[in-house]
Amino acid sequence: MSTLRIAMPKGRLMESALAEFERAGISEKAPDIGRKLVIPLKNGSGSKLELLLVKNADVPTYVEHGVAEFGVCGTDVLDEADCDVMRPWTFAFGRCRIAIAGRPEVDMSRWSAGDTLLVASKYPRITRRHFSDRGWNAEVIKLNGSVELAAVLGLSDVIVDLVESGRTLKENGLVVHEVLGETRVKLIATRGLTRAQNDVLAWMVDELSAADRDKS
Amino acid sequence: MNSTTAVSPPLSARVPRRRRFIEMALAGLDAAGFREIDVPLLAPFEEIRSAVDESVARELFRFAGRSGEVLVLRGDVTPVVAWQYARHLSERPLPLRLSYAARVARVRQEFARYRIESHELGAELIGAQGLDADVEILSAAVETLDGVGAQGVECVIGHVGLSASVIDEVSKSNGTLRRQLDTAIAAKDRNEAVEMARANGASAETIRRIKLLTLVRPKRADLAALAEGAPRELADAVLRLQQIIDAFANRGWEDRFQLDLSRRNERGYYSGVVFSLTSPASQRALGGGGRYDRLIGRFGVSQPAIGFGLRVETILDAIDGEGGR
Repeated sequence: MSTLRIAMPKGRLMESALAEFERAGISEKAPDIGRKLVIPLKNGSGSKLELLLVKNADVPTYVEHGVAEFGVCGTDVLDEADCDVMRPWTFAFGRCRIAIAGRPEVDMSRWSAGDTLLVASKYPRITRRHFSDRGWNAEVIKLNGSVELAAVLGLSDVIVDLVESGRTLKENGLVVHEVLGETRVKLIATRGLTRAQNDVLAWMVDELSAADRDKS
Repeated sequence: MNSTTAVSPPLSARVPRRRRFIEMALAGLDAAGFREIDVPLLAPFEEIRSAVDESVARELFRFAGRSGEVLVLRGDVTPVVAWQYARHLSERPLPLRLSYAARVARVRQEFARYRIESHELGAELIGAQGLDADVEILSAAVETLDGVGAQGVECVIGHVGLSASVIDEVSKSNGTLRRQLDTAIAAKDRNEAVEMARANGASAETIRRIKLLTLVRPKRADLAALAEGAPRELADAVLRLQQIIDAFANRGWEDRFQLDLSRRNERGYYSGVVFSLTSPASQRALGGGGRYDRLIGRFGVSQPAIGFGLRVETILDAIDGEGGR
């Protein structure tokens, strides 16, 4: 069997995921990353595994296209990408709320079907789907970061964004108006795995599951 | 035209090679009794639309014809063959074995990476119900790939009836919940599916079944466990899969299939066994198929049927060592 690849987002998510892999015995120890983008992952599966270090938003693309068999990704990114991949494991770390936020004086109860809201977000697909399910018209302004500014400076009526502690909102004079849901971090896998590749996936899920049981 | 829409460069060696490949595959199907039909390039949108789900209709290129009628370009071949059968072939003796090779264009072509155009070949067995017909088509798909030189072909087998009763029980008439639970089970997202079921008052028995449906690598014993105390539809689906596994074992194909208990009805018209075909030489599925007993009836003539379609470019890439592995 050829080397299997795990698409991994660079940054905090990678650190937490690698720590989980190590605790579960999937990798022997956290590898030396440096500036390399492809890193062998010593493991106990009997198969060759390597990490592909990619941008968070690109993880679903690499996995859906089968360039990487597996990946680690948040459901915010997965739902926004609307990709067709398997999500067989949910990590305990990385839980986060996704919420509508804005200035305190914004009264969402005044809006009703037919009104058009200006909503800034990094997640236009999730945002459109939410407001459409409600029967509201939302004109979504796509931003790539510092989304809070849109509400502060009046670019939008509200924003839809991830809220971890709420500190950034508070420091910018904004409040959560409504929590839409919770995002989780998933181990994802491409469709069309062969039996041997699927065995490796099952091994990873079993090991993570066993490590979770030991922990609790 | 965007270069990503082209099937291959116009003077590529792939062109004659693809033609030979298609001829070889069709000859194999002909020897098994499947007669080649001509699948029309254009079909009336209203008729096709009335028979397929929104997910299939969305993938079809459509435009206005000379009289203002809306036409679709050949995209998903199976509904067009079903339409042709109902219009032109319904007087033929049954079962009817048909094969085809056609260039197709899909707005979203999931199996051919970015290609909008691709070549598809396949077979349909119309007017045959039961285990023998299912095994005949599954075997024909695998043997066609073996016959053209694809290496290590495996069949991933599921049944759309496995998750249906669980989804019905949990979602009742809540369409959004139905869609979300269907998506979670199909993604083998046990955590999300179980959370959703618990939040909606599902029984312990239903939770147990969801855990089985979302197994990454289910075994035959898991299939049997799924049938314990199950409603009729689910028990029938389990029995059919067990029979197919036995048939594969009788052929010495124990190592050539995987069970997938989470398979959904992704084309909207499947009604029984569904399958996809994989190879270690390809990052993408080489093709797939399934039983569609209610599709032809939507065109006015009820007939059970099962078929498969193969993605020619993906298979050639795998054979040529260009499948990304």
